[in-house]
Amino acid sequence: MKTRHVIAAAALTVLMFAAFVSAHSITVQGTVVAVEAARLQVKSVDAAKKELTDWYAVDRDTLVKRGTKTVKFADAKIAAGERVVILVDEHAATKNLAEEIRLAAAK
Amino acid sequence: MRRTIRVFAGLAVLALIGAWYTRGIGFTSRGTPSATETTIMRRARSWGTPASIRDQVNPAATSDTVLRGAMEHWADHCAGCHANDGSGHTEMGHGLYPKSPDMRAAATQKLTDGELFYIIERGVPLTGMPAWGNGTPEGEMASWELVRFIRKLPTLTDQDVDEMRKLNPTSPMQMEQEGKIDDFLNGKDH
Repeated sequence: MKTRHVIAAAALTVLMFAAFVSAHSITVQGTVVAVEAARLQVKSVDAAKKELTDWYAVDRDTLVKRGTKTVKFADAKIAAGERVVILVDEHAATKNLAEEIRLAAAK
Repeated sequence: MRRTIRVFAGLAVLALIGAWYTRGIGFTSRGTPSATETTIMRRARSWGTPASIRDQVNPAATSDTVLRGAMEHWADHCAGCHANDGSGHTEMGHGLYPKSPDMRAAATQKLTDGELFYIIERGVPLTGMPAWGNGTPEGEMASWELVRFIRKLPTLTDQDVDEMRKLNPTSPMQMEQEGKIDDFLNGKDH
C-alpha cells in the first residue's frame, strides 16, 4: 500500500505542478480600496501595466489567510490601503470569485 | 432479419445522439454532468458495491491518534483534488468531470462507511477518483481510517485546515510563488 501510495502521491504532485503551470487561478496583487460584507475592491496593475480597480466576490468557501492563520472574512479586519493577494478561478461560474485572499500577518 | 436491422438502426441513432452530445459539449471536462447522468452513475456505483462491504462496520478505532494519522494522509494524498476541508475547491477538483464533490455535504455523508471504503479502495470509473487499494490489510486499514476522517470533515476547524496546509505536497514552483506572495504582502518586492 505504502509504495503504491508514494507513487500515486508523486504522480499527484506532478499533476499539481502541471495545474499550477497552466495557471487556472489568476493571481491578483494589489491594494485594498474598499471592503463590504461579501466583496472586496482592489486596485491592481495588470500585465500591460494598466491600473485596474475591481470588485472580488467572497463566498463561504473563500479561504482567507491573515499571515499563516486562516480566518473568517468578517474577522480578517481588512483595511483600505493594505496590500492583498487574491487567487481567482477564471473558470468559476461567478465572475471574480475569490478562491483565496492572502493578507500580511497582523502587526 | 428485420429485427437485426432494427437493432442496428437503434444503435446508429444512439451513436448519432452520442456524437451530437459530444460535439455539443465540445469534448471537455469543463462542464457538469446532468442530473440524469449523476443519478445513473450513483445508482451504478451503489449497485456495484457488494452488500457485505456496504454494511460492514468500520474496524478503525475512533481515537485522536487515528484521526490525526488519517488527517495527515488526507492532506498528502487527497487534498489535491478534494481540498483540505473536503469542499473540492481546488484547481484540480474544478477541472475534473465530474468535479470533486463537496465531501461535507449529504450526498457523501449519507453513504455508509463501507461504501466510502469501497470507493477509496476501488475508485470510481469515468471520474478522477483512482483506486487506492492494493489488497493488503495495512492498505485497507488506512482506507478505513480515511473514512473516519471523512466523517470529521463537516466539523473541521480553521486550525485543522491550517495544520493540513503544512502537510500538502508543494512543488518548487509553488514554493517560489509563495515566496513572491509573502514578499509582496510584506513590502519586500522592490
